[in-house]
Amino acid sequence: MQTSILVTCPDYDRMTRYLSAWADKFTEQAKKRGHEVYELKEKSANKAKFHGMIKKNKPAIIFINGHGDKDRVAGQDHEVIVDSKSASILKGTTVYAVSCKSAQILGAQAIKAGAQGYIGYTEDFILVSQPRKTAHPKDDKTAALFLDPSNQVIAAVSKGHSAQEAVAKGRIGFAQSISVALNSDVQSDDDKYIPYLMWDRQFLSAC
Amino acid sequence: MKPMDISSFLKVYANLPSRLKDQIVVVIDDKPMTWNAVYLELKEGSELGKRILKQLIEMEVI
Amino acid sequence: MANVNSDFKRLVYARIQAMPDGTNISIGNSGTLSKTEMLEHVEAGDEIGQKMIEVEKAFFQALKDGSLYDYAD
Repeated sequence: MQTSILVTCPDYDRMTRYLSAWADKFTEQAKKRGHEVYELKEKSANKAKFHGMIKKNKPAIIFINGHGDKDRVAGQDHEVIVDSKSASILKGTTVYAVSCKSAQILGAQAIKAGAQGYIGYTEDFILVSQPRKTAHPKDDKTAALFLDPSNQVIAAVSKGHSAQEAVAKGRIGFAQSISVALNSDVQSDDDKYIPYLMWDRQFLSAC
Repeated sequence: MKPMDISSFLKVYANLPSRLKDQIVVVIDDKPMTWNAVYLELKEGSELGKRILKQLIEMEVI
Repeated sequence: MANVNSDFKRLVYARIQAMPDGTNISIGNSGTLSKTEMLEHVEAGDEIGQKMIEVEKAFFQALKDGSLYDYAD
């Protein structure tokens, strides 16, 4: 079943660079599956274009990547693209926000304003990465432990799963990452990052 | 001398995958110790072991 | 109580020290921290340091109650 997806991909610091790299991995697959994908990359990930894209194209799914807080999420250069006051823009959509804490207040406001679903994190999203991979984030196997499960959430949403089902898939993804990090046959230090994987798993939430 | 009751330690320790057993679980006398190192100390019933056990309980690690 | 908090802080400090030197952690809006910066924050006991301690507390709680294995196959 094809659907339409709006994706924000800011890129101005390490976190947003990595989030956008993984968003790119998702959009590549989504396009192959025949979904209509609208991307707002870098400077285009601003409030005016975000609101404009939603009004014009009425995407069914919105995949937000960026910094955030309890009642807001941001695009490029920390510009707030949606907050509690403008949550009505999300009416009728299913949202997945890889942003800190937005599921605490913004998520609930979005549902109240008529969003079909809102998936996010009720605490800070934590990412561990390897500095040698900055130029090629997609090759960062440590970051993959954190961001592959996140992509499983949006993949599930794009396949028509409910918000709760998508969260369950994401949590299974984090559990799989934890298993990988615990593999005693592999020489790596990834086991030291398990507390952070568990943190993200615990606070992934559907409003 | 009454042996230490290390059941609360064993309950957690036995359930840990091997990679986690190699991780630091306590710092005593400014020295970090892993779960494995603590297990050996507790098995011997040493005075150090008693102090470690007490700290682990107080920190609510076990 | 103060001793317990400082014991746990020392534990968190030691666990971060054991991470590879090149580790980068991005925590929310706090930016990306190097291992040295993480240690400084834990030592300072500031907001970021407290967050790192909170993460480790939750981890040890999960080891104790077995929820490490939740969602595993």
